[in-house]
Amino acid sequence: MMTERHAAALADPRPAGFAELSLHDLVFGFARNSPFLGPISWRVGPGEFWGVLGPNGAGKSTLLKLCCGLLRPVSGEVVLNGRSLHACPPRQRARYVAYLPQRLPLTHELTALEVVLLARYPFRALNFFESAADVEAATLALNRTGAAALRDRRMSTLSGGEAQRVHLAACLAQDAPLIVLDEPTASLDVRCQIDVLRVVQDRVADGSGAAVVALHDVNLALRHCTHALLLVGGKVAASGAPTDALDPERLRHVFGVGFDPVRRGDGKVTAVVVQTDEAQTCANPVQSD
Amino acid sequence: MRKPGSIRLRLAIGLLAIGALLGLSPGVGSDRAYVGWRDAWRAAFDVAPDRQHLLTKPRTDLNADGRIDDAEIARYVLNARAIGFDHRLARSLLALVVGATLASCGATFQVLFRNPLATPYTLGVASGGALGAMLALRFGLLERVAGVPLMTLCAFFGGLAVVALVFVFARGSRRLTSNELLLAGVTLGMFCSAMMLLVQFMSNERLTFALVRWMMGSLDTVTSARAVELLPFVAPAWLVLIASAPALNQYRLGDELALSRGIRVVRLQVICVVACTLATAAVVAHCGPIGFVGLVVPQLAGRVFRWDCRILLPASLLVGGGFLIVCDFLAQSAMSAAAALTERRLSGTILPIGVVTALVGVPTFLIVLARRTGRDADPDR
Repeated sequence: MMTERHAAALADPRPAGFAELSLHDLVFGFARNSPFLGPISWRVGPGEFWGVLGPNGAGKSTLLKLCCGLLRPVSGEVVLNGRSLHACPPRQRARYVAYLPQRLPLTHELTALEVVLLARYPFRALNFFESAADVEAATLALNRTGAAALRDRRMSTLSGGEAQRVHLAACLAQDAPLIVLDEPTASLDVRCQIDVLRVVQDRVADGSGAAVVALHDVNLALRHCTHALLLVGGKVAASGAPTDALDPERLRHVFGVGFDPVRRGDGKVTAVVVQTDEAQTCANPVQSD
Repeated sequence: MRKPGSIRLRLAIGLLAIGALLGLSPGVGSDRAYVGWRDAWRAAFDVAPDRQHLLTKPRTDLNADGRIDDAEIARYVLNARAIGFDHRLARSLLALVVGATLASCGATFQVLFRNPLATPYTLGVASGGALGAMLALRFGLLERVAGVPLMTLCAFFGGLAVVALVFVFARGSRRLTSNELLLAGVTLGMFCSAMMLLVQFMSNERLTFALVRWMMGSLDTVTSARAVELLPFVAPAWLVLIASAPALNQYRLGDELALSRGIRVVRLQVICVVACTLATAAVVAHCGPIGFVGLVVPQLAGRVFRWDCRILLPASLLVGGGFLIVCDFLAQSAMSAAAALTERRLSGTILPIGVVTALVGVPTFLIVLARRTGRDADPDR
C-alpha cells in the first residue's frame, strides 16, 4: 500500500534540524467543556533544555504528550518548525520528536541492543530488518548513555538505572532533534539522575535540538536545565530561567512546603533545601485552582 | 545463542522438518501394510513396483493365482497414488495450513492483547461458529451452496457475528487491550455455550452426537475442505500479519511509545483483528475448533526462536504447521498401534485431532515452562 503519504515520508528521510516548537493557546480536556490544561502558549527554541515542574496532577505528563502529538488538543495548536504537529503523518512526526513515557515499557525478553534498535523504526520506511547503519547508530547511542556494556544483556536482568540508560539510548538513536522525557530520573539514585540529565545536556548543547523533561527534583532542574516551566493546575505559573521560575517563595506557594535558598558567593541561587522546621514547612495547604 | 545466523539455521531446520513430514505423509495412516510412503512415492513417479514384493502385501493378488500380472500392478499403482496423495498428503497439507493459521493468529492475539493466554478464539469465533454449525444441523440445512456445505457457511458467519457483537458491546473502549473487550468475548462465549446446550437438549441423540464430534475438530478431507479451498481465506491473513510484524514490535512497547514512533495504533489493531478473525472463522467453519495450537505453539516458537515478531510470526506458521501434522500422524496411528498391542480390531478409527493436540501439547508446553532458565524467565510473557 504505497500511499502518497508513504512517498512523502520516503522523500524526506532526515529531519531538517530543529527551529522551534511552539504552543499557541493550547487547551486540552479529558471531558467536554472542562479544560484540564491550558490555555498555554509556550515556545521551545534550539539548544534549550526545559525542565517542566509542578505538583502531581498539575498536567506535566499531559503537556509532554501534547508536545509529542500523542494527544489531540481541544483547541489551539502545537507547531513544530512551522508545521502543525497534527497535520504531520505519524511516521514523519516520529523523525522529529522522540518520547520516553513515565512508565517504561515491558521488554523483558529483549536484549538492550534490540530495544535500542526498535527506535530506528521511523527511519526504516520499507526495510523489514535493520541495516548495519542502524546497528551502528544504536551502538553509538548506547555508548553515549554509558550502557555499552549492557548491549547483549536481557532487559529482565537489568537494574532500574541500567534500564533507564538503555531507554534513553533508544531515544537518542531515534535521531529526533526534539526529545521529550517524562520523569526520566524517577526512582534512580543520585548518580544515575545526574548521568541521565548530563546525556540530555550533551545532546542539546550543540544547538541542533532541544529537550523537554518533566522533573520532580527542583535542584536537578536548577543544576542542568537552561529553562524551567512551573505548571500548577494545568496553567503556567512561571517560565524562564530556572533560578527565576523556581524562586523559593513561589515554590512555597505552589507546593505548600517551605524552601531555603542555597546561594553561591555572588548571591546566585544554586539549590534549594526543604525547611526542616515541621510547623513552618507545612503551614500552607497545597494550592490548587 | 540469539545471533541472526542461528535463527536462520533454525528456520532452515524447521523448513526441512516440514518438508520431511510432508514427504512421509503419503505413508501415514491406517492400512499402511497396503501402501507405505515408499510405495506411494514410487507410484507417483510411475516406477514399477517389484512383483515379488507386491505379493507380500495384502489385497494385491486379486485373482489369487499366486502371481502379480500387469493389470494387478496397474490397479495397485492407481490405488497407491489415490491413497497416498489424494487422501493422506491432502490431509497433511490441510493440517499444515490449519496449524499455521491457528498458531500465527494466536501469536498475533497474544501480542495485541498483551496477554499470553489469548488464543485465536478469545473474541468468540469458536463459540459463534459452533452455535452456527449446531443450528444448521438442528434445522437440517445440509445442502451445499456453490460447493460449500451450508453448515460450513453457518459456522463461518456465526463466528463473524459473535466477534462483531463483541465489538458492538465493547464499543466504549477504543483500545483492544481493554478488559471490556475480553469480558464481552468471554460473556458472549458463555451465552453461545448455553444456547448450544439448549439446542442439544431439544435435539435427538444423532444430532447431539454429530455436534459433539464437530466440536472435537476434524481434518478429514472428505467431509471438510482441502488446503487449497482454505488458502484464499488464510493466506492473505498470513501476509498481512507478517507485513505488520515491525509495527507489532513497536506496539509491544505500549500504546504511547508505539504512537510516538509513528504507529497508527488503532488502525493496526483493526487490521490484525479483521485478518485473524476471517482466517480463524474459515478454519473453524471447515475443521471445527481445534484447540491448543493457538495457545501453545506461539509460546514454543517464541522460546525456540525469538520473541521479535518478525521472527515469531513466520516461526509460528512453521511450528504450528509441523505441530498439527505430527499430531495428525499420531491421531491416525494411535488406534492401529493400540490394535496391534491389544490384538483387537480397532484400526481404521482416527482419534479426534483436538484430543491429540491437547495430549501432545500440554506435556510439551509444561516441560518447556519448567525448563526456563534465569535468562529466559520473563514475568510478563
